[in-house]
Amino acid sequence: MASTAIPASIDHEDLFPASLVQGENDLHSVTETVCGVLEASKPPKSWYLIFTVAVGLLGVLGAMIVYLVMTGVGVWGNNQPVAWGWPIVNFVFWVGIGHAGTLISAVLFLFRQDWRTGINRFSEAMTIFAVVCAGMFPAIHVGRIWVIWWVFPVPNQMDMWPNFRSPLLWDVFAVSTYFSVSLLFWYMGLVPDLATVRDRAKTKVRKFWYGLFALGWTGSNRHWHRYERAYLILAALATPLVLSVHSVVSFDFATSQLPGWHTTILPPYFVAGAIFSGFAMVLTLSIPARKMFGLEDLITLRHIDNMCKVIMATGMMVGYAYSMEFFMAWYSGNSYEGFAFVNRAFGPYWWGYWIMVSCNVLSPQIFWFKKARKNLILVFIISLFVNLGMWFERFVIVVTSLNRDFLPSSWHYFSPTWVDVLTLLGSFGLFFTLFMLFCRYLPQVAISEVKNVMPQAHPHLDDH
Amino acid sequence: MSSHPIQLEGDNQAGDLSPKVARFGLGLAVVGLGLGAALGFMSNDHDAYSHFWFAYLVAFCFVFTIVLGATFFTIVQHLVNAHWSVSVRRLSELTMANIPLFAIFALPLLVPAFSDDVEVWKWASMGHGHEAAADHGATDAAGDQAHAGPAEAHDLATQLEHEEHEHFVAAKEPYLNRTFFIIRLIAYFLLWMWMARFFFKKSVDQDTAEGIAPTLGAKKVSAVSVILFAFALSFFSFDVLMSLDETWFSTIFGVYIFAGAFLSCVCWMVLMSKFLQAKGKMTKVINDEHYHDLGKWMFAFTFFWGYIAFSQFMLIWYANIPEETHFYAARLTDAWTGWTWCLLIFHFIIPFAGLLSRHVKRNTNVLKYWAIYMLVLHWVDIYWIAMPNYKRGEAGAGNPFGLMEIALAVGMIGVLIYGIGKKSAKQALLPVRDPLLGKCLGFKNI
Amino acid sequence: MTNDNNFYGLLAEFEDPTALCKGAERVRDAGYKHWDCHSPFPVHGLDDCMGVKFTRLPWIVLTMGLIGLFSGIALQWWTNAVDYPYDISGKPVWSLPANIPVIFEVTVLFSAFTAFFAMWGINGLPRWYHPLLRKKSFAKATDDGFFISIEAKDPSFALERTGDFLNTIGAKRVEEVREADEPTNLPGNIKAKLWITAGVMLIPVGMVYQTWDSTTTEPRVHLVKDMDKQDRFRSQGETSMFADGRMSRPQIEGTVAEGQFFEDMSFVTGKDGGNYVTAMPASITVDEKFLAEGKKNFDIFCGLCHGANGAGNSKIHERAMMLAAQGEAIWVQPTDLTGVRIMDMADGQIFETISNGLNTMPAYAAQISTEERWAIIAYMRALQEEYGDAGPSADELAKMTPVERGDLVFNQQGCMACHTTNGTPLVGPTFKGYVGSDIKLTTGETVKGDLAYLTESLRDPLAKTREGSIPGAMVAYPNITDEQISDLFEYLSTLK
Repeated sequence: MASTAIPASIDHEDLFPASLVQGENDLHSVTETVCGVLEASKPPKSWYLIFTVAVGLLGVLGAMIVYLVMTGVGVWGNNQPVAWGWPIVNFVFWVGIGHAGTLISAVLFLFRQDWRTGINRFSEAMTIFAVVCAGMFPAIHVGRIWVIWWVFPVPNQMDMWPNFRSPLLWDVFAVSTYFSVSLLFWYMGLVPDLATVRDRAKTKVRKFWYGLFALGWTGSNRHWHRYERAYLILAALATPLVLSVHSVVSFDFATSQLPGWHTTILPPYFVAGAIFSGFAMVLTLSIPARKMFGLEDLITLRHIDNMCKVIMATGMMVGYAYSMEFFMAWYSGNSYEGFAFVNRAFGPYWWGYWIMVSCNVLSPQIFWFKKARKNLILVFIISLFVNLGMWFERFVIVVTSLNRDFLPSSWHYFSPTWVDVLTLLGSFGLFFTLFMLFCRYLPQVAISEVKNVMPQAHPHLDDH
Repeated sequence: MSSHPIQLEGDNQAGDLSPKVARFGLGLAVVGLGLGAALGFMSNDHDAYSHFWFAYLVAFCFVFTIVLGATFFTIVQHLVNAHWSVSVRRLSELTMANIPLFAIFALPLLVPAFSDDVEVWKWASMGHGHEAAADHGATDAAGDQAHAGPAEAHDLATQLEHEEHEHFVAAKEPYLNRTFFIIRLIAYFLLWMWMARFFFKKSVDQDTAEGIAPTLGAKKVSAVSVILFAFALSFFSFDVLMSLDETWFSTIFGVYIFAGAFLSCVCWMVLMSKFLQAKGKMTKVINDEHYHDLGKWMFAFTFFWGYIAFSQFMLIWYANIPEETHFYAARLTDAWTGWTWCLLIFHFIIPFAGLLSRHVKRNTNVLKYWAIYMLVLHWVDIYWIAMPNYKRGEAGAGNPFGLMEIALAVGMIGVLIYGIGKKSAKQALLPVRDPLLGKCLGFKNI
Repeated sequence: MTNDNNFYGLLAEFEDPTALCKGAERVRDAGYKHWDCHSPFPVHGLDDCMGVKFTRLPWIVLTMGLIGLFSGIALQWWTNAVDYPYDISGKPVWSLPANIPVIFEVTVLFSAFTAFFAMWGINGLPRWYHPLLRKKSFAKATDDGFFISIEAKDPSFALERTGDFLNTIGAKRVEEVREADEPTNLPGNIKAKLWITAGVMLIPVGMVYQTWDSTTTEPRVHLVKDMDKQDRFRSQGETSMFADGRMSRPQIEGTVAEGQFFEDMSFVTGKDGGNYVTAMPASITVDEKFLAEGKKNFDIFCGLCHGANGAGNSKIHERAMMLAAQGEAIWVQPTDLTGVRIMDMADGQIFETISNGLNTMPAYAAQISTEERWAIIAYMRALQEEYGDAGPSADELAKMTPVERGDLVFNQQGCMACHTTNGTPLVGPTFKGYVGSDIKLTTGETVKGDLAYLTESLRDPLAKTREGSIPGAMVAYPNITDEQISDLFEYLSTLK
């Protein structure tokens, strides 16, 4: 029959994108580039600067937590009717950021998106640190944190069990499962790279510690076979897990009867928002880091371009959810529901709402233009906007719905205290301290995975 | 990087299969729809008309969501430069191209929308003359009743419920009225017909083009199209299905319908592909890897559907607010309990377990039966959404499932088959000069 | 085979992945069993070249996932439905929809842990020593080198033949690998130290276990003292500071407490020399702005129960009536603020009611400022002007029969909120057959339903409470006149 040829010699950067690894790189130089960062006798000056500031903020966080525990949650602005103030806003904010890592390593893996290899180590680390920050907030929010273990199904002296019908308990399970699985996933990806560092180690100390955590990896193909299968399984498990975690976080709100919280689109909407904010944070971190540590060949403009597109797409999904909520609030004919949304946009916190809309829906629209996606400074600024907007999204959800509920006599304008503000800043200190340590002591790019998508890695078995 | 020219092997033209398929589809449509109409209209029972229109709506939405799923599938492949799907993309394009045909089959739905005798969309007949009454009636009525004893209070409760209902309907009147309804439907169909035409044409143009201009053209428009499509599908599902229960609302409903549409579209593509290969077409261009990927989508969207369905159910069940919870209350009592459990077990748990293994996804003969199975369940899903509204709240309400439903659904599938048969005659069964075809034929799942 | 016990095998380096795959195919075909390839990344296609059997890992994960699934179900079922069932927001103790999220998470947790640990387990990792790692040249295996190793224990292994074979299949270089000469197990005392450490670590665990369900009379340790023990005076507490030993102190004569001094006391109490004031305090000007302020607060605080127009027919009332009709609530209709009783009530008394509450109505002094309370009263008066019905004039009343006047009193004073005339009990007893009946009191005495008892019930309802009634539910009606009471009694006498 008529056999047709597809058009030959086409060159188009969208359909046939540039190579993932730029510059004159071979397998060995990739190892050199990545390991060079952690083998250098001193990190760049900017590392010291950021690390010092981060440790300082970490100290602030410590002080705030001690003050909180010794005094009580009254040091925060939380009070009726806004009993969930900044701590829960910060929790949702951080746990949202913690979604990009597993999304990049798991979902993009299942979608065969090779470009993820350049950034997945990085964003998985970010995920774990963000989840650490996130988990801290509900823990210190419970008041008497020394009995926080009551949330786990451990027999206690009162012979009571936690209430599994409560969404807050689902949260405990979802976030801790997510943290454990992300950690396993991250560590599993690290093992072959730790082996690389071990084999290059010059000092005994390095050889011992990296060797210890490399688990005796020899690059055996029989190992690789099971390793890849386990990686695929973990990816397949992590994908619904990512969906579930932020869905469960959304259940904290959506199972209530509060207008503005109780809406069925909240689970997918929260998930899209989490991916959105997570990718923004990856950009915020990777744009300076690739420069600081000389990783421009491995985290290329194409990676950034793709992330911009993901941000734009998820930004649209979030925008879709905003508009559906508004439409349904009117369509429902329920006056409380309608009021909640009018109050969001035009009530006392109107500024929060419009910051949210302009940062989350409007600002990413600039990524329609390829020029904008290639302008790193602009991309960096937009990524900051998105982070800001997503923090405000949670603020708007938590505070505007609570501060004016069904009973006008209990309406109350919420204001944070200085402790609220410093605790949030302190959580950034925790995050960046961990992140800077990671940048210094662990391979920032998944060496073996990047090698795997380089053209040199493919055996040519057919051209005999 | 540039692609190497590739010689395609095998028979990739529909040839004289097209008219055969079209004839078969036409026969199925005439028999199915004819039998359904006969069952509906032969009876002198007034209720039977409403029953017929409900069943017609279910059959229409069942097949039309497949078509819409195919539209989305096609557009999104362009958006993300997908290479795995190139060899099966024409199948979804052929399905998508039937939107104008289904616009014609949507016309009969104007009868229930505009007739006061047929109760399908109750708001359509309720909206007339009730606008003013509902607004402040509740307060005054309660004032009159304030001195009533407890015996009268029960009547008061019923009356309040009734007035509350009228209030909700009145509040939606600016949206749910006949004029705006028809305007919106026309807008959706115009948009979709344009999309179908545009993307089909670009794909066919690529078959003969020298460069890759048509593919790039399709890609350029794909992002905006996806956004427009998302809103159009959501509001279409609100208008046609959600508003059957005029007081109920759920923000996730558009996503729920989308999940079912995409899932059924993928199943449909598996069936088309298996049929063509059984007839000796496309044998060299669709291989296990493509079925494996289609199977993964089936599995993923089975899970996604379950996720969305659970989110919607659990949140409404948990909060238990009267104006929402009646949707599930109706479906978890009497005749409908079984169907609801059936959805949970057969639309989610069983296919989830069944499609989990990679061996199933790569065994195309097994996968084929899963595709048929999921399509049937998709029909059950649509039926379960729409049909409990038939005679809702009246005496004698129940599950009227019978021959008419089956006949109409089969007839509507016949329409789709007829349309695809007609469309498939003029071009190859896959985009033969697509720039990504080379990658598509060479990839392997790990 | 070789007899050298320290001999591990041969290691051959290959140029690139392609050479490695082709070499692996040859080794496989040569029938070797104990051999492996080593590469810095998984080379795709190499599994087939080596003939690696597909791993059984997915099945292990599936099994453990299912175990996780049932563990999740069992955990929640046992803890919440069996061992410690309690009612939360009316959900059944075993409510599957609410249990799905945790079931899911536990399933994923089990599966993921299994995938991770089983993978390392089957791979025989972690291991702290491997002879290949002793080779300097083997460091390339995690960088850019591609190797095949064949172990000496393989039955087909023969040093020279295998070495030649490796050279023929494209190896760049072939090396011999030997086990370490020195012992490779851990230095002697590390193990002992580890055991001791583990033992020490068990001590706190044991202590926790020991205190788990032992009881003690000692108070528990207060980590943060001020949450449990606060320095404060309790109103009924004792102190050695004062002669009488009481913590609560009377006001010192001739002083005014801070913030309690007002020029016009009627403004804050509603009373002037013990009597309720009948007009707004002098400092207040009632104008449109003042009324608007009153309306705002009335709608927020009062209208919820009393209704937006004050008629006592709010949504809360409607809902409560529905529930009451189904026997799910006891309900007294909120007072009609536009009725004669409130119209006749002195401003000061209304003020006191708003400030301190009455019956089920809570006190609002803490929520509504003094001036706003007066504004509410002003607005209420405006509502009465608009909707209120002052009833018949004195002349008209004089022309009516006592029974008709009694009927009017019954309705104007809102008696019907608690008392029916048709025999159905509401919150209060029905008035059907009230007159002349025997009424059993909480004290055990029995009185007759006569004019004297009716008068006493209205003037001082707590004096003689009927058995089964809620003490305090009936309020005093100080404004009602004796004539009105006797008219009411006449009316009640007609209800047989």
